[in-house]
Amino acid sequence: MEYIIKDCDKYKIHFIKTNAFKSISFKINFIFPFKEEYQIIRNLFTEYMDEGTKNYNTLREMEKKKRDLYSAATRINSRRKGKLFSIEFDLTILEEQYTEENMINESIKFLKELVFNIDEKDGQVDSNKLQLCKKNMKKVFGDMKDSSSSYAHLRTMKLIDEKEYTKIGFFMQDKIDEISEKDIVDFHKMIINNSNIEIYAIGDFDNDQMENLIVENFDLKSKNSDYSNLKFINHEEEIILKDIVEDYDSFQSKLNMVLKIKRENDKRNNIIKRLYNTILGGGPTSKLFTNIREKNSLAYSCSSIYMEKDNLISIKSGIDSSNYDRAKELMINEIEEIKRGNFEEKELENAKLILLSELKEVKDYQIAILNSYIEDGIINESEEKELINSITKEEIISLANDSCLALIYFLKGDRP
Amino acid sequence: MKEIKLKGLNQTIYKEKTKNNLDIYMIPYDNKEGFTVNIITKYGSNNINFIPKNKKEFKTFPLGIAHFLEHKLFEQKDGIDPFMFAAEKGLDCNAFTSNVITSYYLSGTNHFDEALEYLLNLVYEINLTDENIEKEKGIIIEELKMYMDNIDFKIDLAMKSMLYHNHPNKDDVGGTIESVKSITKEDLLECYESFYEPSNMFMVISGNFNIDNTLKIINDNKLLKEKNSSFEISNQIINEPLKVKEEYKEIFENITNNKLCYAVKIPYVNIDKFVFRSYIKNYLSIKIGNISEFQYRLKKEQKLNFLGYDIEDADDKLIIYIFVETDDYKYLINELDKELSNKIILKEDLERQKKVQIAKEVSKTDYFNIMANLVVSDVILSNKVYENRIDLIRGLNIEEFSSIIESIDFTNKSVLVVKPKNN
Repeated sequence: MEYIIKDCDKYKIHFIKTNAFKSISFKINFIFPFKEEYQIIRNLFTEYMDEGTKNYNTLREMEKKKRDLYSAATRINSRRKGKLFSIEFDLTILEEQYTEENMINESIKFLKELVFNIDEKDGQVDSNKLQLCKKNMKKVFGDMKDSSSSYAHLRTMKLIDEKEYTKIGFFMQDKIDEISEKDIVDFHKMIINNSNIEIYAIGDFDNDQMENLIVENFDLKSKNSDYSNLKFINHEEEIILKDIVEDYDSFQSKLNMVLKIKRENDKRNNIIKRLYNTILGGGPTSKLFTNIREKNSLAYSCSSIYMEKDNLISIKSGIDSSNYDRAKELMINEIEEIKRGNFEEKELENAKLILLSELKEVKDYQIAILNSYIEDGIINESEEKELINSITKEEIISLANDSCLALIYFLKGDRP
Repeated sequence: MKEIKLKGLNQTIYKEKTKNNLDIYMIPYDNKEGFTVNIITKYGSNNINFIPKNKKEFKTFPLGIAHFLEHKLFEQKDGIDPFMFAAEKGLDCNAFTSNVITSYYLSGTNHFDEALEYLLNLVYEINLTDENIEKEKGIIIEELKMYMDNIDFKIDLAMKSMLYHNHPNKDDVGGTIESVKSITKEDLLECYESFYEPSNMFMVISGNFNIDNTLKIINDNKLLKEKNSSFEISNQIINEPLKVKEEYKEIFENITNNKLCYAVKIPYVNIDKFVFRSYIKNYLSIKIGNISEFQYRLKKEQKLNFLGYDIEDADDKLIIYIFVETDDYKYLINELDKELSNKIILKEDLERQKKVQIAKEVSKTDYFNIMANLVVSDVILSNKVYENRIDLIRGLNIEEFSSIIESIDFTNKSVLVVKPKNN
């Protein structure tokens, strides 16, 4: 694999050369700082852009075009990462040897259409389409409310939320109807003119030819701001445990917990956090899975995930409501056990093996290579391995003691 | 060893058979880091009525027993359990049960030999105790409850109860809380001994591995070698009428938006299953897919929020499921009736579909795990790998397409409307 960065004056193009795939993928990222007012509009904007452009102004026309490009796949996403938002335009196509000549050129023109040519007239987007997008967005929120696990997760994140930038769209639904046709056009202009912009291409292609195609089609100017202090959310405040019980009409109850991690965000600490999470609830040999499910038969699922940018560890389980006290006690006990150092070196070694395996696996998936590069830059595999292997049990214990239980949330469902 | 060259895809699959009739499909990649080893028994939740090995009479087993057995194979007698084994080698290990198969896999980037050996030992040895069976019941019941809270799962089950009279597709793969509670050690042993025979199983290995080494490990495996029975399963023949059981039903659930499920039951016609399914999927895509005039019009009229579709096999029948979210379900049912019965298809639409289908087949070969799933699906569907899949797609033609669609009765359908409880 070969990584090449081309600084073409207005923005950077990142080429990742690999012949391990029959497809080529492109990504254009627009990154800008969080503002509460963007929380709903960014999702509505991606919905609207997904529905079509000026030249392909219906989903039907878009699909036809994609099929003509041999089933090109496109995706427009919006994400919050720490205190930043990103809007991402993705395109994946087959190499020309599996399609026909000039398909790369045609596809990049289509990507240009997706990014720039918003379906608008006189500074306003199409009203009918916007209404449909608003309806879809409300439908998605409705579905989230209908699923006990989604709802429990949203409530958990809402209850842990003490900062404006972790506000959740689900709880701001009243804002959807306030967004006008003009707001969407203005938002589009804002991301084009006021973002840090990065362009990525991964696959087997001629660099110069690809660079020319991109530069010809993308007249963009990156803002080049330094957002490094906005990448993460840190928890400097005093943490007071919230213990909350709510009711829901379901057969199974959800018991969630959240740990806030008070620790720097450098590379070594990130590995320590990942290892800690893996030992606690990151897989079927984790403390939570082994003790809550396997030994005590209290749950089918009990796991934790590490939310890197938010410095949180989120624990989720599905239990019978009658087992609430027991499951809660056992889960808290497992958190405490790691703090006290009551885990085997072998558990740490196993967690390292999982991380090492993930490191290698990245190379088998085009999108994983791209995402890993965007998040962590060029990874030197041997240095990364060395770093993972150098983490000690004491460092895990120390991290566990810097992680504080901030929320216990029980969504009680006891339908017979 | 047989070489299966996938024409037009630059990919070769190798097939070998052990002395005791275990089929092995191998898909080697030299430009990948990872591998996946899968072992599959053609035993799923549908196999509940059969003559057990060494018995003469048919016996009916509790619902969900294949899934229960899958959980129990993860309990090892002497060695370490699969999750622990996987963790110690940095591998991923899991299993799943469907209507027709139970599949076990180990995947990762290191320790291929040990993974392969371990997986063989896992499925060819069982450790059942009354105590570990009782413990597992608690876990499985929580798994069932998790699904009972899932609205899509509930709709699926309700729909199947309307489509099928007798076919076991109508039941949940996991069974019911009552059936799971009733499962005994003897039941589990009888099922294990009947279905976990090499001749009823196959392996699919894909990714970065060496073929000769792989075959040596398989052929040398002691537990596999000991399996020498020529037992053949006699499943109870399912007599499933073509006519749907129930045509229309409304139910109320804790949901925010109306949901509509519209399903058509059709017989397989006498052509290759891959080809038949391709025609059906292409018909659905052209008529009601994202690209269709139908979706375009209904979305413009603000009558349609979402539409998706899928197909399901039920032996000699095929079910078409259409899932819709709409505020006006009566209008949508009427529109779907009209659209599916309007059987005019344009040649250019079929040609565009073929282009898409071929592109998707090419993309799949980039991923060794997707290729492993493709082989599993092919073997379940037709007991072979479709080496000429690209030619089959290229050969789809408007004359055959029209004649097949013309023969289908789209009015043989079940319609389920799910409404919010509080309306």
